[in-house]
Amino acid sequence: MNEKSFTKEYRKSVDSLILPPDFKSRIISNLNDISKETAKKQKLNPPGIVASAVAAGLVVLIGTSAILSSARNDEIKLKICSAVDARELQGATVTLLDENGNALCDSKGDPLVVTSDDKGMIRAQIPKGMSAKVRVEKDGYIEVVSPIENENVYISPVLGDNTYRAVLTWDGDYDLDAHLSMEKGERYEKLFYFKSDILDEQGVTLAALDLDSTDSSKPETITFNTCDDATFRFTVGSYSSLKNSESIDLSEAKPTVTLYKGESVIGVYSQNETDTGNAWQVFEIKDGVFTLSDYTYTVSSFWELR
Amino acid sequence: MSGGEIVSENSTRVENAVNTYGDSLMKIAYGYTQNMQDAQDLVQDAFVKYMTKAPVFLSSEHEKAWLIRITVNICKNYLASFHRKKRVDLEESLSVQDTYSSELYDAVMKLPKKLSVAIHLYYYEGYSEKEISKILGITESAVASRLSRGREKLKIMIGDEAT
Repeated sequence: MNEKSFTKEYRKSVDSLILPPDFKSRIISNLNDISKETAKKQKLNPPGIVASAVAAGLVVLIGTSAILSSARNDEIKLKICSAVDARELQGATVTLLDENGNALCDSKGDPLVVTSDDKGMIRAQIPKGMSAKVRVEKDGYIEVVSPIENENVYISPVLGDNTYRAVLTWDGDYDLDAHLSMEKGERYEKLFYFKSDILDEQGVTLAALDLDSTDSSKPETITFNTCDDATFRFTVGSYSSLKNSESIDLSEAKPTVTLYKGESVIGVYSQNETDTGNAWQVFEIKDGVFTLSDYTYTVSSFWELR
Repeated sequence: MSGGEIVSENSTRVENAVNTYGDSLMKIAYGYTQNMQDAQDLVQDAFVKYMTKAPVFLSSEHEKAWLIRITVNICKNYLASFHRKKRVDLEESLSVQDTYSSELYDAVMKLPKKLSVAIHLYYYEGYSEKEISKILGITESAVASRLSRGREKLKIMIGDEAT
């Protein structure tokens, strides 16, 4: 099939999609309801100046006008690193986004894009006080969107279609550990900082700890393949708490887990700040089916982590 | 200008936008959700942003590109939150749904989303790589790479029949 016939066939297939016959009228009706509610509220509370982003050198569409402002900016500095070995990555393309995920643009309407240097660093200016994000892309790596509060942004190389990678990051002076357990028939195995790879019956590696970290300067990363009739559980534990019986809640460290599969980010999971306990079961994959657990509990030793 | 005036001036414009661009946005959203009801909800969210942000457009092409960009971002956020909050059957989420069956469409929908949306914008909407780069907020080379990888994967999935 050449380019022309592919275009023709693909257009034909999309044109044949059966859209709900009344979806436009429903949307219009819902929008009218929303606008009436908005008008009521505006009569009670007249709007002030609505601005989603104002910065020197940026043109952003605000309300009904395009505004070029000379307000002060914040400078951001980020380091782009590999999630597998924490190596600094040169040549990553970083697009600046607003809090809604829309690309910030220059006065010509072109997205603001910077490239990481040989130290993996990027520097940019964003509107002062904006909760901006960055989209990071690099050939051979999976695209991620990250808040700019993270000083380091870790990206994962592209995986095989059925391979997962869980990357644990956190804040503060804590030592956290990523744990992966596998239950398959009578087998129960665990992978964490001093336990080596999980192998299948043929001796092929099913799961490996790519990166072990004792502080928040680097992530902990586990790469694994699921298999039939098996349940995999990913849990975050607090080494400090489990080893030294220190009474800290894991949530103080604000752990975040980014889960990749194939060429995509499956999800980004953060523990609730109010959860108490020193173990956080993040997710479970049973017979290939993903379930978010998000369950925090308390244990007195590593071996109690499920 | 009061809220009431804004609403009445916007309503005709928004209605025209829904009628003009609704089909295109639904097809893009359906590509992400594989569910018509969810697609409708996300397209509605896009028009809520259109209605409340009310930007100035230089042309109808500019307007459509803006709406597509908003829709794509909403769909990406939807996928992230969907996986966070709900149980997901990863195999089922890749299957094509209820309303239509086409081997080619099925194959495109099975591509990673960032490849399938580039394929859709290029081959169905007819945008150039440069235009797609502005819509998606990525570089032109990234667009070219996604189209190339998408075509390669389709060749493997469908065989030599694919482009």
